[in-house]
Amino acid sequence: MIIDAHGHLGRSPQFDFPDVSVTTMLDMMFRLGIDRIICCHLGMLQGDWQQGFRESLQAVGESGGRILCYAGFDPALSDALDCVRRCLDCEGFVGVKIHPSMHGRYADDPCYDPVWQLAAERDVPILSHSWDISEQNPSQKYSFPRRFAEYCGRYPEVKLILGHAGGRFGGHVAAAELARQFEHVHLDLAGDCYTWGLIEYLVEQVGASRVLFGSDMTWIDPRTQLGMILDADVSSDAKAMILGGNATRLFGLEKSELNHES
Amino acid sequence: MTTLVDRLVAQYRRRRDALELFDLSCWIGKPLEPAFAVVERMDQFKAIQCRCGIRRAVISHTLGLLGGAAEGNRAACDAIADDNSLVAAATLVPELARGDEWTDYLRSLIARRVRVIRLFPAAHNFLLEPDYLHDLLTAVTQLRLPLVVWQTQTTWPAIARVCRAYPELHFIVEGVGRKLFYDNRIYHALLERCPNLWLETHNLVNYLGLDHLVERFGSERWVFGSFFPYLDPNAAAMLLCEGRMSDEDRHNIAHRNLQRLLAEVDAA
Ligand SMILES: [Zn+2]
Repeated sequence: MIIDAHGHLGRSPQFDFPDVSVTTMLDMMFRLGIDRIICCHLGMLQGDWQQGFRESLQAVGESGGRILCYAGFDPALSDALDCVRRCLDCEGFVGVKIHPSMHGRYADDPCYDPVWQLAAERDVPILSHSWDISEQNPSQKYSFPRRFAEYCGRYPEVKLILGHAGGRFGGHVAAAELARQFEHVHLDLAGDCYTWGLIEYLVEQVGASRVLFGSDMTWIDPRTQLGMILDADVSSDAKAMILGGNATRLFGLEKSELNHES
Repeated sequence: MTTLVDRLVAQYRRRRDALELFDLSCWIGKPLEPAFAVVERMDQFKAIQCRCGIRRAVISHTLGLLGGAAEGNRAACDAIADDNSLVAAATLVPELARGDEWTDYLRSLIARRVRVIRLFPAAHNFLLEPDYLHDLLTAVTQLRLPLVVWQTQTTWPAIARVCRAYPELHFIVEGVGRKLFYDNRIYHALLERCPNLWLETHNLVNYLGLDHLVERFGSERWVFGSFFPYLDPNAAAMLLCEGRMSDEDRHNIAHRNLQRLLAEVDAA
């Protein structure tokens, strides 16, 4: 099973998204052999939580379970935690997504404590954006990998996925460091993170069992990460784990059947 | 699962290699970006070029950007001298020649298999404007040398002014330092108005972005590039292998467009 552990639904106002329909996403997955994708609707992160929630439920239904969802946690909402709870009570929501850079709160900010608690209670993974310090985009400092150490130490039972595995070179090195320090930290390859040798480096540093295929679709094209993974200089077993084995285990998808009618 | 993986790997590599990738954006010299596997010299480049499916390449030397343009150009020409599958890109700065001397200087570069010109207006502190670079741009246009500029080295209005002032110039924008597709509303509009504006592909990685460009503008103004060895060429390559486009379009982008562009260079 090939699983894309980091996708999105919807669009952002920042640039022109050619096509964000569920039908097109399913068609793309079918062509590439991606069995499942776990998405966080961009609306849930960008201030339109209700629409994000509605369209997430629709996507889960329309896709017969091929599209699963993260509950987006937006600390600016007064009922943010209730929103996450509401999602996790629905079928198809299998994790929580946080985005410290977008929300301007450091990853170790106290506002995230209730989410970690809830993730521990419900036994679901947290996916967070992570990135390198960037002159061009100062808000990336909120998601620098080292900032996650505090909660990783406090909640060893919560599986954390560092989205983009730190984003750029310095972030990748810091993400690998964090993952070496905490064995419940996983790294995904989503985004335009194409540094030459990245996959080989991460596999060598943290082991293939903690590296996940992710795309960032509808933002970034999933074919880019697939090309890198398929041609990487790591074993076939490692590629199988990265492409889906790890996500299957992490999200407990071993037993969940896909509805092949839809 | 590993059987499936092995099948997917074999299928991908077969498709990629069938594209005969001709890469506009390959670099040697002191690295522009940190990487996990360092490639600085030509012998290191060649040792992994084939593994990545890069059949032919335009080689740029980072000395042209980080050091002196003339020295960088000599280094690039020396590096490709004994390999006919490679050509070089040269970097120009305004003081390298004056007036008619530009044609002679460019001809001397062409004689050493330079086929592409790069300008770094921001890094080298000059204006990319038709008025200021008249002699340089006239000579580059007359000799049919394609011009490559990073979007972060200038502004889109300046790119538009140059494209309009030199309608015969092949102006290729390459995305480095910032996601190129963040500017897609801008380049969609400019592509409509400037038929001589082209894009290099390695940073056109937004979801369905390249497919959409092909659908809207055809396949003849995009040139495959990878920004290797800083980035993994397989990211840009698989967008083509599995592109929602005809094989004709795929091959245009993978190698034919660049081949046609370079065939126009006045190498007499
Ligand atoms: Zn994302």
